Amino acid sequence: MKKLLILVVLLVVSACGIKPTGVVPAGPAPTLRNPGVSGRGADVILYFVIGGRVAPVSRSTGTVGVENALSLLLAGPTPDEADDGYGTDLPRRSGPIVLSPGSPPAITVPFPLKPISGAGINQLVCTAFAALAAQGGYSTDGVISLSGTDVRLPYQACQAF
Amino acid sequence: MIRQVRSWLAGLRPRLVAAFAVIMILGATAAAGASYVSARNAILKGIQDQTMLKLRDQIVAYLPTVSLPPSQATLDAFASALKPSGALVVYHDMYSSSGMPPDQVPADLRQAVATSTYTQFQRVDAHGFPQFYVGIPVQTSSGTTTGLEVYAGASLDQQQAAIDELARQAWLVSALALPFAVGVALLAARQVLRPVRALNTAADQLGRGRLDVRLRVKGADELAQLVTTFNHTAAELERTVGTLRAMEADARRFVADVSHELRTPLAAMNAVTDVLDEDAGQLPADTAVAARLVSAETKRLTRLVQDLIEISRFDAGRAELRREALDVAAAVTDSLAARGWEIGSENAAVVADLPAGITAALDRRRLDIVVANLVGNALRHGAPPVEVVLRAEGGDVVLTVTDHGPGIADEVLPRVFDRFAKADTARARSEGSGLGLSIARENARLHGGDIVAANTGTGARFELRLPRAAGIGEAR
Repeated sequence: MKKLLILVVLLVVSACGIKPTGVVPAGPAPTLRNPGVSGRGADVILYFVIGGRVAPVSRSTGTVGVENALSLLLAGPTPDEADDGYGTDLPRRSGPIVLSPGSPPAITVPFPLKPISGAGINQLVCTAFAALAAQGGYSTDGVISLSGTDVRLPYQACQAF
Repeated sequence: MIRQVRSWLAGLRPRLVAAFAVIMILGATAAAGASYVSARNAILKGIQDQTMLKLRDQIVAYLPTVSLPPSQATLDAFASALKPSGALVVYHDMYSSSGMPPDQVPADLRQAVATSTYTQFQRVDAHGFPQFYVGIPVQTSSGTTTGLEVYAGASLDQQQAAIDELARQAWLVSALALPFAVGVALLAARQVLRPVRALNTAADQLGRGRLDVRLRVKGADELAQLVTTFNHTAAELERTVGTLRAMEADARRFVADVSHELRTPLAAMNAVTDVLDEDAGQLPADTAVAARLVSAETKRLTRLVQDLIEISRFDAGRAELRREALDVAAAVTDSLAARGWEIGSENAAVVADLPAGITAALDRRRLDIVVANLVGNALRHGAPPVEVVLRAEGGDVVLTVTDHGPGIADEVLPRVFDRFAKADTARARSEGSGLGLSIARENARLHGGDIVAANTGTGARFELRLPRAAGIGEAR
């Protein structure tokens, strides 16, 4: 009886508060599909808007250049992707997209940037970064220069949010 | 007061209260504790999962823009992209310049993350403040580590506060259960103890001779069964005792009736034997002896019948007490003189110490019977001198009659006042009726007094103690 009581008291006391834990595994790590490491031809990564966030979508078209990737981005999500909930904040405009290598690299798009939302700018920037990374040849230092028909924006970084 | 508390504590009530309180507290604590533990785990799991999933989603979103090996600028850009989580990005020995300081990450976690391809988390206690750390390694598509690791931390202070509040409420609930438990226990105890107390009272009354006591049966539980049994027992007892009393009364009435019926023929026989006694001298010798024997036995029978009538009056409760103020010494002296017992003289059988001036309200006739019986008994069974001493003690008069005989045998002493108690078992017949001491004691008790017998070592002593005035101790 006494032992039982002590056990109960110990249980009650020890169950209180937040106890430190050891290191606990929780799910697999995210995978980096990068030709620079894996050596295989990676897919093209496009960023679309889903649930207010900018999220990557991969298309198995083989590696393409930055200009082509951005053209694919401007063409909008495919019907399948749209069914999955992906959308775009960018206008469906076509035209020449120019990439000027440099530090940072500069990208010029054939439409005004002012009406485009922050998420839309992020789509452009992140897609460009992904394409640059996929090519491997470019050394990115985290920012690019983005210009439209109306304005040249300050240096932009891909925001993961 | 302390004894009362102790007897209360020894009762059924505190045991019931304690048992109820323990059960209630255990139940409440178990329930509150279980809900506390599950709520705490839910809170912790919520914040941990939220932190990990958010960070992982951010990393997944950002990863396609990263190429290996990363430059310091790439790490910084990665870290600033993960700014909402305050994350630290590590690539082997390179650390992003923003985010939390690298030495803040627990070494265990660093070790585990560096060698696995699984997200890892750890909860640590940083000087009393619980902290949550998550480490997410980045793996290649072939399942090997890339060396790229992201760490983020979150303080669990708010969760700690919420959980402490939960614990406080759990304790409070347990504590609130206590008075409730005590109340319920007292109620239950009352339910059980009320009939028990009633039974106790009734049994006590039954023990004091109130055989008509009965209890009302309420409900059909075990206590009600007990009450029913008690009632049946009491009823059966009353019936049996009633029967016995009726039989005893019948027996006594029979003795009284027989005694009365014997009186008339005895009166006639006494008249005849008186004549025979007078004429005994003129009868032939044998006939004279027979006549005297018949005369003596007739007188003895007459005394026995008188005693029987006397004692049946006591039995029937018809004995009357006629108190009058009298000088006890004078009354005792008269009583002794009437029996022809000389006192005070040289070699006298009776030695008396009767100081005058002790007055009491007594029944003269009954006092006479008592004195005659005690002294007569002492003269018959003991040996002279018989000492008769009168004293006043407080509100009582005490008359002791002491003889110098062999005393009373130990086995006879307890029942020396019983009817027909034989002082000497070897002697079937004694001169007395065998009722003398019985009648003496009945008379003493009628006065509210008593007689006790004892051995002095040199004889027997009877001590008569009577209250000097009619008082509350008066019997019947």
